[in-house]
Amino acid sequence: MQPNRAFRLVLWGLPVLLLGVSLCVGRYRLPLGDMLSVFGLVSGEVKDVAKTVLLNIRLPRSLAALLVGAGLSISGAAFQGLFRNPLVGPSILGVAQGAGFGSALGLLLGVSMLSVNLLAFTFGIAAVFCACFIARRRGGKSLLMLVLAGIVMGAVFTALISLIKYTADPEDKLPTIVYWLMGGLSGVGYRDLAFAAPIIGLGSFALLALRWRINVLSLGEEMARSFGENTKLLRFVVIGAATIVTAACVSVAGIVGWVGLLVPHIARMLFGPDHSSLLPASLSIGACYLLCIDGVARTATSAEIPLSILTALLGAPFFAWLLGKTGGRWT
Amino acid sequence: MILSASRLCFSFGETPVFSDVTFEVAPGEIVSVIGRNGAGKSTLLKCLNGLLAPNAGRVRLDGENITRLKHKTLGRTIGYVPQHDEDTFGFSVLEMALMGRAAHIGPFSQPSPCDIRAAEEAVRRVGLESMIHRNFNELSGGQAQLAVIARALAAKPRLLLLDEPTAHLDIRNQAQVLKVLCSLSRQQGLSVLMTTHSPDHAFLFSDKALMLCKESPPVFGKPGQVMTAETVGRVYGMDVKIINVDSRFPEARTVVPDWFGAVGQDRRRRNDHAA
Repeated sequence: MQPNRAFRLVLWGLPVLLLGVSLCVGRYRLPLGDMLSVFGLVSGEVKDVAKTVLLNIRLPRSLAALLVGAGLSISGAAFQGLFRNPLVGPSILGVAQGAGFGSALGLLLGVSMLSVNLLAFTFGIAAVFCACFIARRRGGKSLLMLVLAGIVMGAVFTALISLIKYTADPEDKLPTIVYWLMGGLSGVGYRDLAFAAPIIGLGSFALLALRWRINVLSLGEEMARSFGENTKLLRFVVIGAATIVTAACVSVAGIVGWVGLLVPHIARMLFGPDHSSLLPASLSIGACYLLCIDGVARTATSAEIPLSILTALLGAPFFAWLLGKTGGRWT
Repeated sequence: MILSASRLCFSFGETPVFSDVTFEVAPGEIVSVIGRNGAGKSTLLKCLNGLLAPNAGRVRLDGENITRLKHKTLGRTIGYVPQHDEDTFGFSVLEMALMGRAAHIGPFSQPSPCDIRAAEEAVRRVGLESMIHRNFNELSGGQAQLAVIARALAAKPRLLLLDEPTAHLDIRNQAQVLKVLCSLSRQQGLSVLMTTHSPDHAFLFSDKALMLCKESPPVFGKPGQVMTAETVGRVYGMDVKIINVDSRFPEARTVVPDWFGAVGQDRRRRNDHAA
């Protein structure tokens, strides 16, 4: 099913609308009028505090939620197509665990936040690179090999994360690392955005450009090659793009589970399996989903709730309901 | 000649699959490949469109060695219909057929209206137009086979390679698939090369037959001439009779295996046991 014009409008309008809403909610009460005047849409006096809250805290945070939700979802959708399996998520090749290790290492060493981002990003890519290196061989069940190699790298980096937690100072560093790994956007500023946004944008753009091609890949290597497809190159580009997107997401938001698995399913139920519409839909629905979740995370209780807890607590029952409703069929 | 293979040999590591296979396919011709399980029929097909590389010998498409041709050119000229095709996500018949256009669509492009028309035309040619928006996974075996043929046709190829297109189909659906293939070759001049476990199909619907056998050299020629009780018996390693089932058509021959001779002993024992 090709999304018609009205649907397309909703797809692109809804994230923008929710971005506006999420700027309004929070513990600091900020009337709509004040908000509009900060952006110069309405004339009027605004307190400096309001300005700071809106421009330096809520805006970067909401933008990050939008970007991370969109990025994780589109890479999840791309990986599901590539691996011909609706049960894989964006971290199937170990990128999240690798990036998690990178940031835990950075937090342990007490380096600057930008260095933590860089370490996370580098180790995320390194994990996937190692997985691809282990899986390289001629012909055969190369996809299965890749998945197994990804599980291996995931296990290695999970163990390394545990090692870092074990050695970290339990008074000071350990809570920071644990809290960070649960995923959250509380400290996100423009510097993080400047690092992650171009990468997420570039990777998502590449995936969107190749979206119809992912259909062909999902028929399997042999079939795609019989159409004259250069499957090796195509697979490399898709894996590379999805990996940099996920690594960048993890480097700003920590490990946020479920989004990349759940959102492509919702998109598939709404728009069908054709990746031409599935990828843009995942992008938009993912952005909306994480904006909502982050809104709940910072307003539901007086303390901030880590994102992973909410994405799983709200996402898992929803997924179970979906499974019950569709009977496990992915169409 | 659209396709010609000369002295092809293939082995998986140390295990030889087939050797010294030579044949040609002319425009509009239907060629059947018969042979036992494991005789290398599917492997042969994959050597013809470059999915596998033969150890020795040449495959020529329009006189040009296929190793020199671009993958895209091969993809546009040769349509491939594999033996088992499954679809994880439940694409519609039209979406499936559109994928056959891959060699005509640029890497960063979406299918154009022209591609969609070609895909619809391919679906019409196999007679599935009423199913065009149906989920591929909900089709019956015969319809799914036709849908996969439509996908191969969407690229507007000049040669179709089919791996056991009639396997797992009931006789009516077998006839339906064969009818579609015959009309494509007669009306559109499409060349067809298919593997089959029904030697009868080689007699009835083929211009040429290629018999692959592990123990003896491959045989290629007109079915009426090369497929005798002796050669077919040797291919399957089992005695067969060849009978004409309709005196009006000399090509309407059928191969009757000597089941009794092959399993007779055990059958008698079972009957004795029952008595």
